[in-house]
Amino acid sequence: MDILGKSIIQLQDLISSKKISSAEVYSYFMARAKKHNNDLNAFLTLVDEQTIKHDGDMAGIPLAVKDNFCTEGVRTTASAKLLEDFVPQYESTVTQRLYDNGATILGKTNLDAWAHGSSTETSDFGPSKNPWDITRAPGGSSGGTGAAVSAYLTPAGIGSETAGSIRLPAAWCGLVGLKPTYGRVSRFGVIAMGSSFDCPGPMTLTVEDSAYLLQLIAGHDPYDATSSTEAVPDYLKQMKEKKKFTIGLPKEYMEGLDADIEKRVRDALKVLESMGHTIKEVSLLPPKYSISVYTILQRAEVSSNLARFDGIRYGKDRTHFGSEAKRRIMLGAYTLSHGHYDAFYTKAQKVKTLIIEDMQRVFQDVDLLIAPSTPVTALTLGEFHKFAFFGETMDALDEAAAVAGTPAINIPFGFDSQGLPVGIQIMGNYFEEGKILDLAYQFEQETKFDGVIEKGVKNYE
Amino acid sequence: MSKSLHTPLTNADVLHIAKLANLTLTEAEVEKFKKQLEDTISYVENLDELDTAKVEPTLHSTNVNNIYFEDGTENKRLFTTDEALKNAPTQPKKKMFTVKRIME
Amino acid sequence: MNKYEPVIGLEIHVELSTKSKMFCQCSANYFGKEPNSNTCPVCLGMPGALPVPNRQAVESTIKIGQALKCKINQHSKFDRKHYFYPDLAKGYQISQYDQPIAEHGELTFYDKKTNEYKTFHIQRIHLEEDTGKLTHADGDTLVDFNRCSVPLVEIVTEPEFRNSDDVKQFLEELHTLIEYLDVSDADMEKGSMRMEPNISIRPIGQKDYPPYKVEVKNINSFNFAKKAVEFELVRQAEILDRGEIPAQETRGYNEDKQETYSQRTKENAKDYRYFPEPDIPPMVFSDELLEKIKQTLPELPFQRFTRLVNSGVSPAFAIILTQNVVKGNRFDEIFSVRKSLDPNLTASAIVNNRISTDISVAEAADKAEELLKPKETDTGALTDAIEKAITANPKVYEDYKAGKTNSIMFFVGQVMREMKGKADASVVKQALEKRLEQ
Repeated sequence: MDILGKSIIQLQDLISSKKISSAEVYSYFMARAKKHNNDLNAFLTLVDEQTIKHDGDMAGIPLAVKDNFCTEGVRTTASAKLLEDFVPQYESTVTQRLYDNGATILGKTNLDAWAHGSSTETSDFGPSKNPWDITRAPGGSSGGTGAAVSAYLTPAGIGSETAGSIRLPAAWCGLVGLKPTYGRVSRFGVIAMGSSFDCPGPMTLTVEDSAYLLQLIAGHDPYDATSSTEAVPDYLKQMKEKKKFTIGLPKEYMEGLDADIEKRVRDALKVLESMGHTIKEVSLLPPKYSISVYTILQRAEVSSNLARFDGIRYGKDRTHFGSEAKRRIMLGAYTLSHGHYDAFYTKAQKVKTLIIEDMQRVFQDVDLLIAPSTPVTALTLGEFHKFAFFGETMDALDEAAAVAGTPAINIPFGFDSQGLPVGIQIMGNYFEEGKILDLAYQFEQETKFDGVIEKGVKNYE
Repeated sequence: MSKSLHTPLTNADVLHIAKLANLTLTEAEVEKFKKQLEDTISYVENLDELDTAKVEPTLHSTNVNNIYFEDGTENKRLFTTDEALKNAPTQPKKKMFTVKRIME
Repeated sequence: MNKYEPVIGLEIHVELSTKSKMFCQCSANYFGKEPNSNTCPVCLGMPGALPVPNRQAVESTIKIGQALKCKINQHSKFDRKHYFYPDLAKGYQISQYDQPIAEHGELTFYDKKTNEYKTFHIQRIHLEEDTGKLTHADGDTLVDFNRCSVPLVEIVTEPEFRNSDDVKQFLEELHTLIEYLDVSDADMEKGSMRMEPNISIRPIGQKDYPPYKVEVKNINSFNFAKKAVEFELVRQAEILDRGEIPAQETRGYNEDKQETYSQRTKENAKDYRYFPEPDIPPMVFSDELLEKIKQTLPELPFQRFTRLVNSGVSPAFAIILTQNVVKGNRFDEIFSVRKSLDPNLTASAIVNNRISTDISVAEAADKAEELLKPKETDTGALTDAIEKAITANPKVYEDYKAGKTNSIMFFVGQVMREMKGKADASVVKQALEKRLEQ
């Protein structure tokens, strides 16, 4: 039977009603992955010849997992030559929870080396390609997962976001991508980039699958002191509450956009109003401040987090860092060095306070915020060289939520004039993933995302 | 922000930072990173536009405190010696990681 | 040397005797284990591994702070301290920078040499993690991470020591205190307590601190600490005499040669790039918690010392009964059941091992009473013994007659020996006084 484009939930129904076996599902995806990976370079490692579990809701459902999640016995590289031969002897909490529910990891996906980038072009193993147009980047840093799910090499995947690394590739690949509240999902075993920002999250074809995967991976982890002890609600239930929301449109986030993107956002607002939601223009601190705060804090954390890679216990020595990693380490080390700390780090932490207060102020007036996810649609490979601050520019609209640690989702909504998917994001307050999913699900039911998902899975029929 | 931000970086500054970060840079890299560092530094100076004199820094966005584990909790992640040494890039000796001899 | 005044501060590292390591569940007891058999993703610094602090280690540090009369910072946090060294798995040590658990304390003790009370001040006490261990063999340096991330408390004093005797006694007193608190095995041989004196000297009269500081690393004996300080004071004076300034550096101590030597290490470029550990939420200590921990403090060494002295025990015995916990406890036990005994004589009997610490309290009390009871003295034998002693030592007798009355103690000893101990010393002394005055 042809299962092309089936969501996780749909596949589970087919498996449980015995219309297809979990082994067949796995083989289907493995065959597709093997066939198309040469074109897309989505996977760095395919986990062939593994035992498929029969227990658990996820039994037989193969997932794409970004290659910065440590997986016991499966090579984990963070797309860095330095870790080319690294096979962890421990499991990340996220992948452990997926395994515990019966899931299979089909393969480990490409990313920007160390997750430093927004296109996968800094990967030491070559860029991934955007399934909508393989001359284009899938976005990043979770671009391999984006490409794999978009081309339906797996029904869903796991990415991680520091600032934009789930939402941007989801937008460029035409997917649903959820960045949860910081601390909602454990970071244990995720090769650290910016420790105070990193959030694992799902990248899926449907809102329901995102809610479902979040349900599986969310919750306190005794191995991550920053993981939240807040109870995990029933996201699938909250997703279907059909609440009418007051939605804020931050006017600062509508500046400097591609005309096509601006139009799609305006169209979405009309749809939402027609569905009975209220749209209210609001004002947030301009994204440029979030960019600066993010740049300072993230680089400092990067310089520290990459200090353990000394080539003694694992990996190659520090001469194997690529140019982007070195650039970030240098800036981070500089801002933390003697005499500079207060001017950079402390100042950035103070502005972080302002950004959080700014968000909290706005969330007193509105339930959710809506904005474009990216200022442009998928760029062609190599184009990032034209930008002095490529990542910063691409992720500009994603960085406030990253800095504040609040949740946000990318949902696709139609195409630009070149036929590339456009991404829109819904942001919520801390731990309000349920509200975000509710609105996203209503919008999905209403619009079918203007056919993006349906068309996307047929790119590689 | 302090004046130091506006002071142009020298090659010696860049080399000092590289030493702190345990990176070896080529001459070309020194020039490249000097330029990139300066560009980034001048970008983030936009934070000067905001008055933060009375603002407290945020260290953790999650507002949680006092997260501990209880002493003596069962160790479920203990590596065997072989597991610990498994990824060592150089051949372990006497069950230990090896590096080129350093001076004491 | 007397042109200069020493300026010495101490850094003392104490390994806590928790069950688990500081940030993971590996055993804190690494001693004697096969290399690298006591590690996990966290202490081996694997990618993506995260630290979670050990509650007991934090509370033990608070306890040390309270025992040293520190102010406990109710808002405290961990920071990352960066440097590269093969024994440091993560490229940074999780330590504490600007909000240590405890600050501004003091330790007072009785100086047995000068018979005066001395107080030295504690600058700060913070909690951090230990490093792995390096072994050097041929062309290799070998690394064992079993010890990596064992909880380590660093106690830093003010730079107010002026001589090596104070340094030594302070360290001994601190060691006793740590033993009393039962937070560390404080085993010097195993390196559970390591001392680093920071030594410099300045011309007498100068108020400013010297423009340099020499840190002598990882000393694990009180005597070595004293000798290292003395060696440095001489070495630095010679350099200053030449009109030069000693180099700011880290030195090691060679026990065999009894001298310090320069270590060419990581310390040369000291810029640790501290920043708040993003993986660990801050700590906030409530009044209730601090009070609860305070309640667990035992009687501290100095409290015991003053209590003993106030009860009539001589300072010399009180020092020993304070430092030797087993003997000190024996003293207290005997008095808990037999309050009538003479405290100083009992203390003397315990200190001189005349009362075993292995027998029961009741037996010990009986033994004490027996030892302290005045002895029946055979007066005939005593008279004979006295005459014998005087006849055998005419010179001492003449001395006594000439006014050296101290020499009576010599005769007491002679007579007691002649009587084979079967006499009461006070009776002997009285009889001697009477005879010698004739």
